[in-house]
Amino acid sequence: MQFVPLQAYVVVAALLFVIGAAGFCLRRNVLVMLMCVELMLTAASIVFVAAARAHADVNGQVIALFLIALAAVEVAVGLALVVAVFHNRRSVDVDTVADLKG
Amino acid sequence: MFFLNTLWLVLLGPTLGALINGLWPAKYRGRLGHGVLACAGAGLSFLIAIIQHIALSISSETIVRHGYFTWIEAGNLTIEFALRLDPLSSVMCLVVAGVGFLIHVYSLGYMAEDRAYVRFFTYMNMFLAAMLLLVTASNLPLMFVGWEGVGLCSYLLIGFWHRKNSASTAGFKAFAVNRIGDAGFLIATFWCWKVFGTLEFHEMFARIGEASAADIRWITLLLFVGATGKSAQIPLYVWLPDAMEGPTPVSALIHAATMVTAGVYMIVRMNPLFHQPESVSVLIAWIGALTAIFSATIAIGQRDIKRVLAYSTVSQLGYMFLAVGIGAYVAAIFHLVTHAFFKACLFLGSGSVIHACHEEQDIMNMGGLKAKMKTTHWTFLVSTLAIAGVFPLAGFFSKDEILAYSFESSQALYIIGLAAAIMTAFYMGRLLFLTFYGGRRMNDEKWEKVHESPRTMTFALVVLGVLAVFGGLLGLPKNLGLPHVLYGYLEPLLPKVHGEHHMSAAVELGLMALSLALALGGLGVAASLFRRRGAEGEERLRGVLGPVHGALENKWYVDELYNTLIVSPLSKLARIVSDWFDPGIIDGAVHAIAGAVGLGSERQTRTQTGRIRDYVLVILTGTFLLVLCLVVLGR
Amino acid sequence: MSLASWASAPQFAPMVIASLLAIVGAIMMVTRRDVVRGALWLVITLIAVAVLFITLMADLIAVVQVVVYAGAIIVLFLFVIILLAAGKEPDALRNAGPGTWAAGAVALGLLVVVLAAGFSGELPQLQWGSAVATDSPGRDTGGEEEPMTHPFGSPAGVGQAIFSAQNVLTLELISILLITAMVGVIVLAKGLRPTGRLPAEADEGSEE
Repeated sequence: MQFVPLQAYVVVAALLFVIGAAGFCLRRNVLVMLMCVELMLTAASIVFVAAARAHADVNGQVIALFLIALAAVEVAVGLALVVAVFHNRRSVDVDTVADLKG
Repeated sequence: MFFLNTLWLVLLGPTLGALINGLWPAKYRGRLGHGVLACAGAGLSFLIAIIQHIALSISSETIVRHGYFTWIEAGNLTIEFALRLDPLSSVMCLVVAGVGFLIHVYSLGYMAEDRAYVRFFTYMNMFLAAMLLLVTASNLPLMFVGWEGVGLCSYLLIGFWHRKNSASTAGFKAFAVNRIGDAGFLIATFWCWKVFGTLEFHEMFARIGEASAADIRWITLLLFVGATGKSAQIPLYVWLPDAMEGPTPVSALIHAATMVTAGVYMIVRMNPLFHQPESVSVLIAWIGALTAIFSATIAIGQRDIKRVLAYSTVSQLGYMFLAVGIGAYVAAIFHLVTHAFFKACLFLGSGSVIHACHEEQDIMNMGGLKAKMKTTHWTFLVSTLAIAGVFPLAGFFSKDEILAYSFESSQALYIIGLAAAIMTAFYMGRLLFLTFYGGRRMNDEKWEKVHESPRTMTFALVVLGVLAVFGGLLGLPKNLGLPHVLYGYLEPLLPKVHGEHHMSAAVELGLMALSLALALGGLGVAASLFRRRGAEGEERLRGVLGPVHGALENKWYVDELYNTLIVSPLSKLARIVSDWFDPGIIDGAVHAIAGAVGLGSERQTRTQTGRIRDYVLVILTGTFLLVLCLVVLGR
Repeated sequence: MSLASWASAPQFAPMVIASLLAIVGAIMMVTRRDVVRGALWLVITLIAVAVLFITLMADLIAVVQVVVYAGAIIVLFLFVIILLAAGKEPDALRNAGPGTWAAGAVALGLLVVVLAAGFSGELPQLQWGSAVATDSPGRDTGGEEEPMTHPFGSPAGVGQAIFSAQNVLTLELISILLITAMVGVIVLAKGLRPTGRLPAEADEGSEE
């Protein structure tokens, strides 16, 4: 019997997630930060799909599907905000949008 | 019976008057409207006091007590809002509401020009309500409410013309001095609670056997301290002369007829305690006698018409304390009543004079007013004779009764009392003659404007003058076989032992003759000095008395003494506190706390960079820690 | 279970290659200065993830991943980048400072603990081959009698699961969310004036 452990997928997902998180923290371009969020969401859906496979439960795939829808929503709203902010500030550098500081 | 079940009705009029005038002054009522409303409130009280008096007289009960609601409930302490009607409070209600009503009416004329007309009548009604509560209260705490209420109104009314610096200072002085007395009253209340376990008068009196000698001594002493504050006895009398800064009707109502007698009333009310052999009665008698003669001497040297009357009031209050000190409670109340009549009349008369002379108060600048102010002169004359103790006016009987009792009790007290009586006759004569007789000592321009006061004012004067004449009928000497109305009325409340006159009629008549002769003598000396010669007579008096006269003018330097001994050390201490302790310790602590909080929050604001990435870092750190916890603890 | 037994699994090679591609793409995406290139690297990652889905018998998800993510979302990104002409804006990794090191440390720590959590329990192993290739008879979904006859991961099976009583409420919520987002985006876009300010700020713009 041949099998691949679930752990392999978890490792891949964890790596992708951490790369996304690090990128989100390190980059200043708001567009890149949004892409990093996409990356993290994708990592999450990998875990769901792998778990669905491992448990032979298709609900995990359904959740992955919902996640993709959520990602689309998030990108739409996020990009709209980026456009609005850019119109105002002429910049996509998030550090210029730091008015709410103490 | 309805009126014996609704004791609170007597408080209703002035309370409503004060509330309506104070909280809801309305233009359409006009100036006069407010005053008439206040008078109506006082008059209503007087009417109800009369009805209650009659109801009590024809009722079989002597003491009516009604608790209306529970006022304070804490642990096993329950204090009811309870009122009490008995002969004593009924007499006091009649005097307070009656004289109060007359003075309200008088004020209609006296205050007519004042800009703060409505405020004046609000305070006056407030005062009346508080005073009536004081005399009808059925327990010590409720009495204290009235006690403080009248103190507050007194303060407000002394400082009524608060733009005048001396008035606000005098008000403050009255308040501060009264505080000393009030502290005594309060401590006495606590002590009573500890000893008797109740603060209702009748329950306390029933358990009087449970108190030890020391308890009685301290309670009576502390209550007496309270009384000295409110009733201006040595050593706390100093506020009363200064209280004359208030409008004259206030002096008449509060600082002559009613409030200052609260101490006397309170001691008579608590007479079962004071009558115990362990009480401080002897001290009270001596303080009273000394106050009587001491302030009488000061009155001789004063030139301000109201100050003479003020010291006279202190002196007469001294008589009342002398009376309660030797156990002659009826005599004290009797003198209280007659004094209310003639002293109110004198004050109102002086107000009438001041009004006529355009705020002139120095008697050396008056003289000869008899010609222009007939009614005022006649009532003033009658009241002067009454206070001097001339037969058959009110003061003669009441003062003589006190002197007779003190003669029985102690020769020394009697002699002091008699000496004070001579001086009373002398300084009152001086006041009368300098004011109304002799040549005029004011310039023509002022003289032209002198006029008799309006009807509202003379009405009160006449009524009070009549009462000063006939008030003595309330207490004709008993041991001459004459009826003593007041004694018969108050008897149920008094300790049973006292009340026997051992004196024979002959001794009594002799004493009367002696005091009458001395009173006439005092008046005669005053007349010979001042009747025609006026200012010259004052010079001669000064010459006779020599340096003493200067001391009298300066009130024996008591204020200066108090300043040196008490006020300035205290203010030095206060200065040290304000210069060092307050900025250093108190402000230091406050500033340190504020600074620490400020610094801390300033530090914390730096974490709010406004940069999303930093926030995300924090979120990630939190996630990290959470998962770490799961891994470490989750096994 | 050894590496050798894994390696013999038919899905092993695609899985490893796709994983490597995804990770490399992610790293490249994060480190590129040029946003357009970053976006293109992201496409590679997303497609590689789609391949991973296929190895997990999630065909439908893989297709949706390619269509929605690699198709719609990335196109949207590129569109915005071009619209704002922001692509060429210089933007490097933040200069090394305490923040950088902190971010790196936290990311690393997160990786460690997530992996530790992933390996801490007895995780089920994925069996390849025919053993579970034909799906289990399906779970009892909300008491519906109809047995699931579709193979695991097939579009029909997933569709049936989506509209099962268990998931239909979530689905409706997602639709509401989509509508709301759409309305929100329209409002945001309409608010933009020619000056490029939001209406609220345009009113007080004179202050600046």
